[in-house]
Amino acid sequence: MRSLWRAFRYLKRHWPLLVIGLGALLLVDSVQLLIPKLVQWYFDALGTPRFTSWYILRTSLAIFAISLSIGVFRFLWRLTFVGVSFRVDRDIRRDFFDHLQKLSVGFHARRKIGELMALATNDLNAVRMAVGMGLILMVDAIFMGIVCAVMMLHISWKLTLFAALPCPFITILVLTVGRVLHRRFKEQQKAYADVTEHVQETISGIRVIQGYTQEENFAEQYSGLNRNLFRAAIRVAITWGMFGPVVHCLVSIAIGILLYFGGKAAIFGDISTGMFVAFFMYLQMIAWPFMAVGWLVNLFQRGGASMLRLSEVMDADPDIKDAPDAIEMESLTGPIEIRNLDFKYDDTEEPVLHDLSVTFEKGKTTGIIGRTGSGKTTLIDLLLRLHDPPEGTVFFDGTDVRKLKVESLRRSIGIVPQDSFLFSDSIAQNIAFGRTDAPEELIQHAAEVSQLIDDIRGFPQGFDTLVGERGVTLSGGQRQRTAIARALLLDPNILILDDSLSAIDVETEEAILDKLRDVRKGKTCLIVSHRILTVKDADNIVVLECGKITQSGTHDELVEKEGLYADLYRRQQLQRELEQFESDDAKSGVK
Amino acid sequence: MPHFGGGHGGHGHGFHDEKDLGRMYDIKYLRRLWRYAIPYRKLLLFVIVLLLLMACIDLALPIMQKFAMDGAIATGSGPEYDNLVRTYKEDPDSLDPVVKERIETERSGRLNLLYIIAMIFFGSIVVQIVFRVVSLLTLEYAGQNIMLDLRMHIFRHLGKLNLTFFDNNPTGRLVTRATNDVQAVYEAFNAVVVQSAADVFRFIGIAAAMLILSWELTLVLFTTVPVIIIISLIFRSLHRKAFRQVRKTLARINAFLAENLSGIRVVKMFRRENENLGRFDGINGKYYNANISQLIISSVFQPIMSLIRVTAMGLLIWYGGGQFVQGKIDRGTLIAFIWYIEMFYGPIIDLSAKYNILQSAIAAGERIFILLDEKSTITSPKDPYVPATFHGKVEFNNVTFEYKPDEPVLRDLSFTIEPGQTYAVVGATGAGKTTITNLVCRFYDVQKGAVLVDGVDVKEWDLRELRRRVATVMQDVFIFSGTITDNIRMGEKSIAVETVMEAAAVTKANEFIEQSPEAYEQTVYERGANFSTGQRQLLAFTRALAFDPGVLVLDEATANIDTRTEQLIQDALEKLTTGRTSIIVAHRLSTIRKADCILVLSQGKLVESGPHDELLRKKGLYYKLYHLQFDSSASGSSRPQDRQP
Repeated sequence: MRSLWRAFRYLKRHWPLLVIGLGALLLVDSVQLLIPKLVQWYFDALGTPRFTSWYILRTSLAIFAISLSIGVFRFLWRLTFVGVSFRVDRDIRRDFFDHLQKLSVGFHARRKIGELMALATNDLNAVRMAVGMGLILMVDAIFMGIVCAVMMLHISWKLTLFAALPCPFITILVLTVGRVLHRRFKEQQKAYADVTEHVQETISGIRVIQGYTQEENFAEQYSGLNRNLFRAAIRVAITWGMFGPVVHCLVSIAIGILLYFGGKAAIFGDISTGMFVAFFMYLQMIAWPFMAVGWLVNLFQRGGASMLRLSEVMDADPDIKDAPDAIEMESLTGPIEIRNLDFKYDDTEEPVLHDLSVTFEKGKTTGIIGRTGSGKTTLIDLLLRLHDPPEGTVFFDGTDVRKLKVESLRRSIGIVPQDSFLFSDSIAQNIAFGRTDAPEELIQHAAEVSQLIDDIRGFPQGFDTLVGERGVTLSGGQRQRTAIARALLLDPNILILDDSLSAIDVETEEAILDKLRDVRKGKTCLIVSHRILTVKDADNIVVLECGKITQSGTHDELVEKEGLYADLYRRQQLQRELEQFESDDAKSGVK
Repeated sequence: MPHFGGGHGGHGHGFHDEKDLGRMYDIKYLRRLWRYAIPYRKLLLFVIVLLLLMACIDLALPIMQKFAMDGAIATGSGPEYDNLVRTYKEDPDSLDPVVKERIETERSGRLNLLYIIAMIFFGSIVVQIVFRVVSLLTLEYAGQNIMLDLRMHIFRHLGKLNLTFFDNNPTGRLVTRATNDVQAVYEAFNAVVVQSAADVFRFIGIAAAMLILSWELTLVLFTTVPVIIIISLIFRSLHRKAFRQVRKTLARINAFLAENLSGIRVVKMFRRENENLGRFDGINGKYYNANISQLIISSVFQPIMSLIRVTAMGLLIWYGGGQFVQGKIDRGTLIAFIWYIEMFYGPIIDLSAKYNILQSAIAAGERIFILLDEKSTITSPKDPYVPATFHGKVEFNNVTFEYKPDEPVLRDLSFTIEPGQTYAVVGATGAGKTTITNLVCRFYDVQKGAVLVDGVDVKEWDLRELRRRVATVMQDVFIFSGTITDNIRMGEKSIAVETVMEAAAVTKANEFIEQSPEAYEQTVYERGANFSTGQRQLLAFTRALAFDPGVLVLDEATANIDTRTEQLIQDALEKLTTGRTSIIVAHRLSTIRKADCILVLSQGKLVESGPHDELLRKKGLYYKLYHLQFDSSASGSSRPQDRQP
């Protein structure tokens, strides 16, 4: 319940609408209360000289006028209250998405997309219902309850006391059942998120699933999750299904008691017949607030449970953010200095990087060579602050990266990530991803440097070709080259290529490296690879092994030294010699 | 082909846009939805019976109240009696003892009657409550079951669909169909379908009771019914349109979320957060607008309905009052009618409101059924080929293939791979190499020619049998959340944990697996986010090996693995490819040098084929490709520009 306050706070900014809605709601309720009064007078007049045709006409006209105003005002309050609830829905979803984007990559690795989708739609809908319908019910119930009670007190205080009989029971019920309901709703929403998650992951991996004919196994897993959801929903239904009728029962008992005692009062002449009828009508009206309490509990507990789940994400600390005294830098150029960097992920025990010290000189190209799992990509992530390095370990232009604005840091870096993720947009828009207003010539130029232009010209729709989700309609090489163009378009001072030539054939790689030679002039450039060929032209090469830098120097220096680089070189060389041998063999065969 | 959603080449339409739906059918979709309810029809019938009984009690209550009024409270009452009672109360001695006694007996008689009525009232309330609980739970049970069946049906259907379909539909949209839309159908089902039966019954009962009491008054009230029907029909199409928009925009929100959360790293790297937030605002705003239009429509509808109801009340007071004055009806009847009027309009207004809620279910159902109607053309034939023994011969006979019409990727391609042979596919990017791997296990169907495995067209094969025997390691490694073991055997229970470990030992994936704190039970995040790209590829490799396929198709899978690991894998590959037909696509010629035969592709055509040495001797395209690789890597010190002519 307390969690819902957060949702209600969103109402504040829409207060003028709420005031209008509240006014309309109260008007509707007040006017509605007049009808029993009119009926009371009508019945009391029945058979008396007052009961003229003019009187009849007047009463029916009054009722008609009342109904007309009820119609208008009901429209008004529905529109404002429910409308505001949709605004809250929209605002929370926006803030939710905004916050998701602020959360670090580490958070996103642990959270499943399907679950976040369920939060943004299903859970948020429960919150909206609590805010919109909940608010209406609450205001309505309180107002109607009080006014009906006053009207009834006016007719007979004794009878009113009887009518109040269910109150304490309902209160106790609300408090005890509410807690159980809250827990069960939370289970249900979680189960729903699990189902969403599974669908999301299955569709994403459909190729592998179909390829290994595991459709049935995944359907079975899905069936299991669905069964969980089924059980959770039934558990909610049992709690809630009991709650509603029990409240109804209590109210009905009160009505039954009143039927007897009220009737008795009428028989004994304590109240008139007309008063009895009116009293009964009010009683039926006051039954509504009692019922509303039941609904309210349902809506608030469901909404509260969902808001709690949303809050878990919205309160998650965006651990990577600007320090209070963060420095804004127009542009960073390097050098990038790393001093005694130790780094481990929260959920692993082994450090990924260990006492790492290196300087990437300004305007120079550094190659980083290392095996699978040696920490290359982690190092790049730390430079971009996708994960935070410890303070005092990474320096750009002499400033600790933790003291820089994230914005100014990332603005200066153009990166081609290892996983060349593209968006389901046109090729042009993918290249201009980091700068949506980029002029056409720049996009074209970036495509030329990355050797993508010929492929694009081959597509019937050229730059407007849609690439599908993750770029599925492009080949692996085309995707990597699009990713390269995307980084080049920014014309960054610092360029990082994270093992991003792997799916590109050698001929094209050569051409790209060649073109890059001009582009990277004056830029601080990092080229991560596991292949000697890609890095051997670098001004400096560092070798990363198990999170440590074991060697550094130029290609020629490293080849001379004993170590991984020379080892890799020899291995790759050996392979080549073998090939050369075979090739010579083949050539001599031709001769 | 009926197209589910936007897809490619939609002019001016993005990938995330869905087509608008045309005509509106109610009966068609309701009948299809009903099919899911058939297995639970007995339960639903039971609920309907309970609801009818409850409706009976609902009807009886005002009759009892009328009895209480007529028999106990207001019999022979009127100002005369009221005066008498008042006098008795204020000053009983002033009354004649006979009158006094008459009043007292009269009173105790009435009180007894009232007591009996109150007891019956209690009794029926208790019964009603019990019925209510039972019917509510039964309905929930049936409804949740129906929803479960529908979700399973959608899920199984999705599993069967062609890959082309997934290429053209964003994940988020499909997720919406399988979850949110089912929920919308269910909510409407719960609120509408079953309870409508009770509404109809209640309406008939009330109408009958009222006709008996006073047919004249009832007919006056009936005049409002056609108005209600006409208004409901007008609002129906408005509602549907609005709900369709809601479903469509909701799917867009999900599609946007799914995509941008998958690519959150790139979003951050390129500081797209603000741009994305702006776009999200746009989509979110459209969803909001759709909801508001729907709200306005229903906000107009409901007050109109209650206006009609209260108008009827005025009509009754006016007309009934006149009748009373003329002595045509008695006081009790008039009072009963005042009671009945709520009950008379309750079901009608409920029905019309439900009819409109139903539009929400149909709007969601439409989209679900369009998805379910999406035909899968890649399925086993009627009389599928199931081999007794498997040899692993793969043939391409004059294969022409295109993903999009008139853009052939493979042209008239023919080759034969004998069982146990290893073939390598080389060529420039976009030459159609990956496409070949997509065709062997029949991810796509060829337009011309045929792909044969063991001499049988893959279209004749039992699809499961075929894919069980052909393992494909794709360019994009996909890792599921779960454990490492789960990922390697993918839920295939016939693969023992030992087999998983053995496979990992062969690919040397065991090295990093065993270094993880929980080894084979180590948790893997979505898409393997807690493993490096190289490690993910090793996992995919191990997966293929664990399934022990007869044909192995490898698509550039070694590209992201460093030299040492690649070396290890090549050793493993050699073990893996012996006795197994293998097709390997790689750009690194060194990895495929040992192949029995090399297929050289250019623009979807086979330009050369033969063993390595033979091809080199030919001095054709392969020779050029090979030397490009060879020269640049062998002469370690020579810089590429040195080679420029």
